[in-house]
Amino acid sequence: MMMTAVKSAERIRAVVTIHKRDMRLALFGPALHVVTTLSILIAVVIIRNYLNYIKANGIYPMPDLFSFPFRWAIIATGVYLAFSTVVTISRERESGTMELLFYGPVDHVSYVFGKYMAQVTLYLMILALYTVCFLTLSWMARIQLSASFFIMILLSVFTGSYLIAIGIFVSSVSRSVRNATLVFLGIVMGALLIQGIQSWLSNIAPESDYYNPVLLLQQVVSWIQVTLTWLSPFSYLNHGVDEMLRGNMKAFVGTIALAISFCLIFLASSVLGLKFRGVRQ
Amino acid sequence: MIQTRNLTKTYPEVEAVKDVTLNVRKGEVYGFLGPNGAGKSTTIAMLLGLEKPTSGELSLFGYHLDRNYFDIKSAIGVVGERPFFFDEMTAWEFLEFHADLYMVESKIHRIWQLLEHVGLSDYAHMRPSDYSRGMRQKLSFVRALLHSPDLLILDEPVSGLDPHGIRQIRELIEEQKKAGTTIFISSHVLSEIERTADRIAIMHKGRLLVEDDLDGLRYSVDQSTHVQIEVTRIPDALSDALSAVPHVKEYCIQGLQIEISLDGTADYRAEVSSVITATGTTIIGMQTRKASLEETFMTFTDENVVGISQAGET
Repeated sequence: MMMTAVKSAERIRAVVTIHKRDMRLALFGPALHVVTTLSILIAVVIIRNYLNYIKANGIYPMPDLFSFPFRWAIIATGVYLAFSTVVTISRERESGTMELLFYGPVDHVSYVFGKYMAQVTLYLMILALYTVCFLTLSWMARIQLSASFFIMILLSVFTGSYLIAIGIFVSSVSRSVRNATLVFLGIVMGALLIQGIQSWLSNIAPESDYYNPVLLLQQVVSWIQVTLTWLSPFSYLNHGVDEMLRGNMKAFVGTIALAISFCLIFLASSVLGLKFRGVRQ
Repeated sequence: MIQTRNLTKTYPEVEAVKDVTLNVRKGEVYGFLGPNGAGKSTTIAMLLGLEKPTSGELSLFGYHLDRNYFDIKSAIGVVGERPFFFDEMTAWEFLEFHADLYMVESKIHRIWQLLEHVGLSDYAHMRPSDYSRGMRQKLSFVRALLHSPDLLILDEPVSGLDPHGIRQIRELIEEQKKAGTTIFISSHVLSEIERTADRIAIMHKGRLLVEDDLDGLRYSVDQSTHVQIEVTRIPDALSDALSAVPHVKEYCIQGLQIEISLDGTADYRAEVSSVITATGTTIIGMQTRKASLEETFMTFTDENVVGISQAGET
């Protein structure tokens, strides 16, 4: 019992030290600031266009003006953080600094959680910044933020964490920066492609022939997308917001629980992947 | 301090380490030798938990690594074959990070003290990527010594260094040896091992050929003592007189130099010198020559190569 407590304390110390280092390196590097600034700027441009539309036409282009730009900003940030995790872990392995860490009191669990915690903390900091920015924009435009906006803030914590966990998993099992980058981009592009194919197929009106291949293809793509919907971190935002607005609290909590579960599964798989793949160059 | 029993590591296409049994004692400097591909780095990787053994057992400080992972890792300092650094950090930041990881008390003082000691204090705020190879290696040593480890594992610590750098690293190793740190050192630079190691292990093709102190290694490859004698002249009776000495295995006279091989490692110098002077010449120089570690190492590994190739032919 005593031994377990000591081990946990040592592990937490390693997590905190790695977390602190990664946070520091990210905050002192330019990339994160560029992505955050660009995301806010693009969101501001979208909102300004909406406001111009309202001014010109006297009607709202959509019921909630802030949802889409906010969603764009947090997804872009989440993807960037996950991508930067993929690159930094793979690069650490390639450059030998991962091996260096494992010379000392760092094990697979503390390494994975140290990395994860650093990215999640950064994500939360950026999320807080976006929230302040959107509150300011709403105050300046004199348009009240909707309830779904605040639900989205809460849900995006889980979406971002899940994305980061996927990034850690991909890099833990990849042999090189190039492989890890390609696999991660493949996952993101694959999800988008399936979505694109489905909307394209749905626009094709098949003849009422039971054996029409278009019907079959539509069905297959639809099944894939349903599966992806339950796996994709992006879909939890839509699910959660929809369920909350319907007043279905049970389904809302279930969505969050599922996101957390997948996140934990990916983190546990990352630890196993790292053990299997090894930490040496 | 380090104990392994039948440690084996097999990869799909190669058996990197086979049945290696080592015993490193507390406070000693243990030289770990072997040609390229002998399995030294794989063995070190297993000791550090970076590679999982296929079979066999290993313990550090008397404990299995899995059971006392953090305690064991906190008591080890490692200098790898290639010095690794975080590109984005200065030397100071790099050391500060490791001091946090190992929970070093009074870290600022300790970092400064070690940097001063190795002559890097003026370069503390430079990035290691701007350092010379020797400076990087010294920085690796500073990192490894930050937490005053009980066990220092050094993998090719002087590889690629100039003579000045080698000397500085040697001094650091000797200081640690005096401080009572157990040092496990793997190196190709045999003269360095010969100077510093208390005991030596020789690996070849994944197998441990021998583990002994230097005299023991020499004795196992050559059971003779070689004495070189310089005389003022060579009397006619000298050859017969030397042949009559029971412990003289063979001798060779070249000019005024006599090289004698004697049985065993006992000291027969007085007996030999009295026989020589009795022939009417004067001895003006005498020295005992021992086989160098390099000669011993080559004998071990060459014999093994011959043994393996003969086995392959039959």
